[in-house]
Amino acid sequence: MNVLASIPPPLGSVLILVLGTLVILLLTGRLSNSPTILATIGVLSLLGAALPAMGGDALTRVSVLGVVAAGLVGMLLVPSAELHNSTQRPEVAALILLGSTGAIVLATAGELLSAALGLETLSLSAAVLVALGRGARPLEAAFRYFVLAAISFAALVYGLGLLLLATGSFAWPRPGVVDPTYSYIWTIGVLLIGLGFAYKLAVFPLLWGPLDAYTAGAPGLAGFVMAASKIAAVVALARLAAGAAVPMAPILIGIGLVSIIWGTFGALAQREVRRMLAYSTVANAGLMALALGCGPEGRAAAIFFVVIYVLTILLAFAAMAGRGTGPLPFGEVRGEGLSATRALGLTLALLSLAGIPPTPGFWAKLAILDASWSALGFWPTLVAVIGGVAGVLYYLRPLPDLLALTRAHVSSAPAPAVWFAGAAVVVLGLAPGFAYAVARLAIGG
Amino acid sequence: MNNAFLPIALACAVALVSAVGVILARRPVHAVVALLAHSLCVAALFLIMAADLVALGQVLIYSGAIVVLFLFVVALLPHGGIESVVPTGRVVSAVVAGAALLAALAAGLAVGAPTAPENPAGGVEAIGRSLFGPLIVPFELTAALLLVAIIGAVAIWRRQEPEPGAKASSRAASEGSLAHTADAPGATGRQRLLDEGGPAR
Repeated sequence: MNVLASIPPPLGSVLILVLGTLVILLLTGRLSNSPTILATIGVLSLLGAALPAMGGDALTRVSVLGVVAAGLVGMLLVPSAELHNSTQRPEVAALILLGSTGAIVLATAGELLSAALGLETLSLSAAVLVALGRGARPLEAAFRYFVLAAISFAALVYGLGLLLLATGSFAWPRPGVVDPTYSYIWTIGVLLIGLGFAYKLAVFPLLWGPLDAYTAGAPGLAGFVMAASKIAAVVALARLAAGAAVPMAPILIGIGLVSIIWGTFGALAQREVRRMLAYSTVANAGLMALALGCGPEGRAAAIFFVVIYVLTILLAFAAMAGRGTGPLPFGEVRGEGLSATRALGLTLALLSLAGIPPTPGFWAKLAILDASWSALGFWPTLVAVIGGVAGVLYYLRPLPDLLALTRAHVSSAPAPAVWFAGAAVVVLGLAPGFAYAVARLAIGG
Repeated sequence: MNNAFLPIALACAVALVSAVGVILARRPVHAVVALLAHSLCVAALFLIMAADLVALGQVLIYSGAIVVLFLFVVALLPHGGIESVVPTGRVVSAVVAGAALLAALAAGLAVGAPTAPENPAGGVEAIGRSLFGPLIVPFELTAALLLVAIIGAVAIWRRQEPEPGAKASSRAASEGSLAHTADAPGATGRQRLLDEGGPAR
């Protein structure tokens, strides 16, 4: 019997990532002085992890490729990451691989117990990755992130227990399998599990930990944490909403609308780029939650949106990496000495986040608005549109300074992560229809 | 309401109070003792729910091994091992608690050992069958989770370690005395690691 052929595709990816982690851990002493070799081992493990997933279904492929892209950008930024103790690069690379493992498990798990373990693996690696940033603020932010993650994980475990009580198994919830006597317990269980997943998406009631983590961590690592969490959370919530639309859909729509309003006002009030991006991520998470509550069309739109959003935000964080963990005030962007490549990358990312037409961000927002219009009608869509339009106001504030920087001649180290993420954003902007078709295939619509 | 309600309520209440005590205790020793009470209460809850094996594991592993390990660590803290003069009230309460424990054990023996249920839901065989049967994938995935926890704990501890080129004194001065005490063993450990991996440089 061929043992290797009987391993399901996501587990093959998990095995390769854990093997890569072990190689890095065994060579920690040697690799701490040779970041290029370290990044090479990490990149090879991530590319290897993408291979077995290609044999899976469309949803597996989309989620593994998304997580691998996030991991690749994070890994390419490891040699220049702003660490408190710069000998810790091997640990950071190992945590990126293990965090990708957790995200892949969360997105592709066959039952909820594995999904919960994947979520906790991702949370724990994310908290440590944030904590290793330079200065005292990352440590505090990571602790806050960790405590809130523990609380939401406790909710998830309670939900798992209630679901086990109602159905007798850890399978993903499906309509019609539960005894009507237990439907009350089943509903509470599903909602608590949804709460646990929603923490990774950073929607309204659970946003303080992620907000601090995205703001205070080293930019490259914060970008990875944000990207991997969002992809895994959206896919997991899409699977939960597909099986349990009755309690999940109205609540997703509700917290989605509140998050859009909250994140938009929060982002408008900010005075610096990183905090603005962190708040705007709440508004974008709200858009995704809104779409997840809008039936199969909406779930496909949410997956399409998250892939584009994640690549764009990775580009933004990659462009800001290497300049320290401190804030980047709007008025001082010009004096930061960003190289032309980085300034151009950040410009492209901000244009796409604002949803200016030729960029992929436009198609992503359009897909969500379309799904919301056909499922919910005028008022919810109006809130989403206003949130999207207000995005132009805050995203484009640093733009004049950035455009001036693209003409300046500041030499800097090569930035492979910026090139990689930038190329991905440009490709998605050229072929949005292909990505949308893949997302619809993944959701089975 | 069946006759398990009172024991469950009692164990839950003590578990909650001791959990709050772990967080609020000002001295590490008190926190560890509260943690011990908490883990024993959780074991009692497992026992009431007829999960004998889990209860036994909770007592052996958490109360027996991990909390004692914590106590050793606390004793190694700068002021952890120093005990002030023991007040009389504490001696009296310790004697009362010990006597109560003995009385409870004697009462338990007098009632007789509980008979094992016919088909225990939480028995060794049932747990083994589910861990290595339907739950094999999540069981193996805990390996990755534990690996993250180990790396995370070591990495956060090593975070404030001085880098090989930097002066230890200047870094320690900027981060306060706590960092300084934590640095001392870290520096030697790191130096040993570097010496072993010497030729790589």
